[in-house]
This record gives sequence, C-alpha cells and structure tokens, in this order.
Amino acid sequence: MDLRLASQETTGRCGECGRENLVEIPLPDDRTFYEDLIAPLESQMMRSIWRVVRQPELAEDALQDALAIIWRKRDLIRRHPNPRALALKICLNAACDSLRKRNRFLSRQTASLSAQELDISDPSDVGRQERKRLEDEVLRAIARLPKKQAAAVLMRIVHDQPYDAIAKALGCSEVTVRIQVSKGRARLSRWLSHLRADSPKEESR
Amino acid sequence: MKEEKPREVDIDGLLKTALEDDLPAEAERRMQKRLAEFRTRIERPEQEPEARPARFWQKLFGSGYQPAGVRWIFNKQALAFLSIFMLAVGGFLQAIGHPSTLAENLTGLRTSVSVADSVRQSGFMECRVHVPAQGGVPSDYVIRWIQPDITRVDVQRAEEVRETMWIELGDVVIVDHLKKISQKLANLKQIQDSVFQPVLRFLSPALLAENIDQKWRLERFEQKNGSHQGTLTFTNHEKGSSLRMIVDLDAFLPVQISRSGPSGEKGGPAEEVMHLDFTWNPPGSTQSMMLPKTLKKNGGGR
Repeated sequence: MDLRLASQETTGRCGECGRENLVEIPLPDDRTFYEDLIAPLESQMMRSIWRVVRQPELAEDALQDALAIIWRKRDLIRRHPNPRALALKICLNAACDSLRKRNRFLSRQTASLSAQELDISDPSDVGRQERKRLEDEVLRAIARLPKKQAAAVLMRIVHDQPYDAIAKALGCSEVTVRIQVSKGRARLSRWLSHLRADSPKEESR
Repeated sequence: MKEEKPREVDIDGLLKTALEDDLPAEAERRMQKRLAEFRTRIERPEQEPEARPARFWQKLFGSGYQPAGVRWIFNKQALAFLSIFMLAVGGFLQAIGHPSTLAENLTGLRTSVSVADSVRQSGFMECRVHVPAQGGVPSDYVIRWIQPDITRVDVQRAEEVRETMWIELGDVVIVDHLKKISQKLANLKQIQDSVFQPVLRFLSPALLAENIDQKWRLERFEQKNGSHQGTLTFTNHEKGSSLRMIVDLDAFLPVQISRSGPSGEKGGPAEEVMHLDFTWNPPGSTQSMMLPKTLKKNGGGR
C-alpha cells in the first residue's frame, strides 16, 4: 500500500514567495488506522447517519463529512478510551448538521407543515404520508436541539449507548450527559406534544 | 429556565419509531460507494482524478505550487459556495439536462475534500467588485476570502487602496490609509462607514451564495456550443432587477456576476449597477493575502 498522505506536517518555506510548504511524512499508524478502527464501524456509521437524515443524498453527504472529521481527528480517535462511541458521536453530529441545513433550505422553500394529530400507536397502520410527516416533525425537533444535547439524546435514546460511553464521547461527565438527555427529552416532549404517542412506554431511564 | 413537564408523550418510543433502523439498500449502496472512494483516496492520495474531474480540480485548487502528490488541496471557501449554490441552481440545471456533471463534480469534490482537509495549505480567493459611478466616483473593491473566518476588503479609487477592512473570527478592523487611522469593531453591524455597505453581502462565498439563493429567482440558463462556461440569469421581481452570472461549467463556480437595475422607462437597456469578477486561485504569498500594498510600502501593520 503506497500511502503518502500527510499525517504529520513539517513546514519549510518557498524561497520565491515565502509561502509555507508542507512536507508530507507518512506515519505507519495511518496505514492501519482505517482498517483497524474505522472499517469495523462502517455499518454502524451508515446506519446511525441514516436514522437521522433519512434521505440517500443527505446521508451520503453526512457520511462524507463524518469521514473528513474522523480522518482529521484520527490521532485523537486512536488514543480515545472509546473510539466506537466517539465515531458514533461524529457521525450523529454530521447527520444533525445536514439536517439543520436541509431544514433551513426547506423552511425557505415550503410553508411550514401544520402540526396535526398523529396516532402512532400502531406504526404499521400509519399511512406512508403520515409516517413521513411524523419523521419530518421529529427530525425538525431534533435539529432544533443544541448540538451537544442532540448528540446525547440520539446516543442514549436511539442508539442505547450507556451513559459512561456517551460521556467519554462528548468529553464531559456522566452527570452532565444525564442532564443533557433529560433536558433534551423535556424539550422534545414540549415541541412534539401534538403527536399522540400511545406506543408502549419503555422502561423509565 | 425550568422546562415544562412533558404532556403524555413517550419521547423514547416516538424517537425510536420515527428514526427506525431501516437503512434502504439504495442508500446503503451509495454510502458504500463513498466509503470505497474514501479508502481509495487515503490509500492512493497521489492518484490523479480522470479527465473531466482533473480540469475541475485544477480550476478549483490551482496547480503548480503544491507539494508533489498533494493536488487536491481543500478549498473550504469553494465548497461553502458550492454547497449553497447547488441548492439554488442544482434543481434547475438538473431539469435542463446537466445532472451527471453536477453530481459527478460535487461528489468528487466532497470525496477529496474529506481527505485533503487534513493537509492545510494557504490559499485564497479573490472577488473584484466594481460599482459604477452614480453621480459620484466609481468604487472598486477587492475582497479576499482567505479562510472561512478571515476576509480582507480593500477599497480602491484610481487603483489606490484607500481603506482596508479585515474580518477575522468575528473581529472587524478598519484602516483608513489616507487619514492613517484605524478602528476595531466588535461585529459587522457596527460598521458605519457607508463605503463598505455595497460589499457586505460578499464577505464570504457562503454569504454570496445564500444571498443569491434567498433573493434571486433563476430564470434561464444559456450555454454556447462547446463552451465551458454558461450564463445563469436570475431576477428579483420586487426590485425589477436582474443578475447575470457566468459560471465555469467544470467547477460550477462563478466567473463573473453582473447586476442590472430596472429597465429604462422607455424600455431601454438596463443599467449595470454592479460587476463582480472572481479569481478562485490567485497566486500569492501569505503576506500578500493579509497586507495591502499600501501598508507594506509604509512598513506598517495593524
């Protein structure tokens, strides 16, 4: 494998224009970084992004952004106590960013959807259109959450990650994560209160 | 502030229902392709893109000054413009038969950007704005988009830099080279000098693209046979004005924008009220990016 990508940069200066030149020094670790750490997570990354953006084009772009960040932060990921959780967080952040961009665009293009009562007690009975509206409403609400809160909520509620893993990925304490999840839940409840959810309640968390 | 108590909504159930783990085959296939492209890039970064994308890279990122093997230096500014601009014109162009080029170019760009982001290299883009005289002296501006958070604007009269504004991470510094005074502002809203008003919408490529997206409606697209440039015509019905943008069809970046006011009363030709020329990879040193010639001559800084 011929890997010449710069992972460590030293600088020299061009004698002609004074511009800084970057000299590429490959690190052997880069050769295995992707194969060892990221390749096993590919499926999880794709799925986590899809669950948030739910559009093929947006999912592609969000994945691309996530890969860019993962590559840029590869040294951090290598040393991280929970690389899997960190990669998941990066993917969810990228997905939420895409979602926010899409919402900004949509809000300019279309009149906002009127909030209607939806019965999701039995998802299989919900028509395709209603299902789409439900998705849209939930996605809009998630996009409104602060970035860190959205990541905490998605990691905990949607991906069932333990609090300590989320705390490591977000770089904060477990208590902070619990507060973020709780606040996020409360906000979503308020914003989505018009959706009548009679689905079986999960265990209290 | 205390959060309201949720009203009988099972948020966990709702989220799990709405955000079901149901990745469709088509989306999975597309993402797999991206992953494969990414792996290829990190394994063989020196590999040249083929034919058409090669021209695209060259125009976007320039060539000749990068270290060998790094030919896809990330240009965040260009991508910022493209990602918004595509929203504004993408659908229209697709409808008139440019889908493959659009998709191919933008996908290619994003793929290489992902890897190249880790290799930082100085580079900037330039936008020259000419505002014809309207009862006064014509104004010329040179806007340099240096990084997403760094912009420099020179105000020129008779090819002499009169004033310079730097915007760096939200801070604004304005220097009047004639009066030899400078002022620091906390944000753009505090700018009172009317001379900068005409270009406040062009302080970043993203802002420019957003402005076009929000205020202008795309009316038509023209391309001469064999030409690598196309002309997009936008209109603003409220103001009765129009915008003609010449776009490089390899890079989908603007080459020239010309804004005209409403047509004359007798249906005469509309008067040009602003003209912008873009150079996406001007050669230059880091110093020339940041300091106008006037300042270097005087040996001064900020």
